[in-house]
Amino acid sequence: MSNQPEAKSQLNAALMRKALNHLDSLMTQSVSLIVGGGGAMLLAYDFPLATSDIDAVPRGIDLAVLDIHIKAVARDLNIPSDWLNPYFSTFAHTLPSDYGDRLINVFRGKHLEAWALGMEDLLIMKCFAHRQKDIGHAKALIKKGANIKFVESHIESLQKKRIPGSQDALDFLDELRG
Amino acid sequence: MKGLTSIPSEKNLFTAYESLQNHAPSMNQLALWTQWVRFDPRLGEIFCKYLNQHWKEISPLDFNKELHLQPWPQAIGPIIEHTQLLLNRRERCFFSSWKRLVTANFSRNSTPELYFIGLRKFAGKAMREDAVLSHQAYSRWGYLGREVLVNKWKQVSNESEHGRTLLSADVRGQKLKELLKIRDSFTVNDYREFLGNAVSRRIAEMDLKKHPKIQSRGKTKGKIYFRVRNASLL
Repeated sequence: MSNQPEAKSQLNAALMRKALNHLDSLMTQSVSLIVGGGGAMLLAYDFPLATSDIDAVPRGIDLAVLDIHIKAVARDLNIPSDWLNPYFSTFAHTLPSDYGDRLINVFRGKHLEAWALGMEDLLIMKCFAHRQKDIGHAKALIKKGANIKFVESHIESLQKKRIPGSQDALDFLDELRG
Repeated sequence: MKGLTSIPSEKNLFTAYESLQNHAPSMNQLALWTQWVRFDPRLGEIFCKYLNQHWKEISPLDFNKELHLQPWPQAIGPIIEHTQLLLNRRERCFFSSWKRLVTANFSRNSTPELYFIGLRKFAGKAMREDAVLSHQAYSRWGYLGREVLVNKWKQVSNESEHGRTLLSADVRGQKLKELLKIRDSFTVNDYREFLGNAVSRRIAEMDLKKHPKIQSRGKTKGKIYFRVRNASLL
């Protein structure tokens, strides 16, 4: 099993949709993807940004089984072999349990559906990541209409439950308000 | 987010189990498999057992070098912390030095993230509990997790040499508050079991002794703890 670095290429919305279409053609069962990060920003909210992968967690299929198809798509379209990966799920403990109510459909194929996280949920994750490079996108989400009060109230509830990183997330949100 | 370019298949994991149990894996394989542990706690258990038996044969500097080539070098952190639970007192001080060399120049995650990938329902209750009740073996490295990577931990932890406390005082305090809501009286073993045996007997007794809303009756093994009458749990 190789873990060598590959030549990066940026995925724009068109290439993402092409890749998802191709992935759909390889599916034989119903699979849905929950999309976060840059992929969600591009596909659901038309933010002009560059990203090299789609952060997506699958439902209805094992990660390792999906990965085989992801590699096939990568070979056929000459895009990075990890163009779709589930690693953003390691921060999903910060999301409200009703995130499903705010999902936005960004792709519907024969077997595959992709649903992007809502603006508030994306903002919550950005607050917990609290990276300087996310400030621009976080502010853009707020400008687009993300409900700050909801985000703040949710992070405060996580702080009461002692979810690690909550105070940093609140501080980041405070910074966004400027 | 970046990470492993390929997710290990079931076949990959079986190969790793087999190699760790029967052969001498290469340094490159060991480093890669520390990353695979994030997808499979069973591999984590087998890896800890392997390290417990073979750490003295592994060059810490070579291992450190290989780990730096992986996307998550600090993923070895929780594995090493759990291995330490298996060692006797004498070995632990030498192992500490080995551990420092293996993990030299590794940074702790700045934003705590779940250690295991793909094993919990997305944004579900278990994920949140992993975060709130995280064991120190994970949180020391900026990870969140509750899985004890030691086979038959309950049995191992009851042997006095191995009884270790995996939970922070803060987390233990929260769990004790929960226990007091559902039980009027309990023994120290009840408390330990409620915490998944993630606390040593000595620390468990200290927790109960110093709690302002708990009193005890009886002596030694037969001691019963109960909530002080009319004490609020707030």
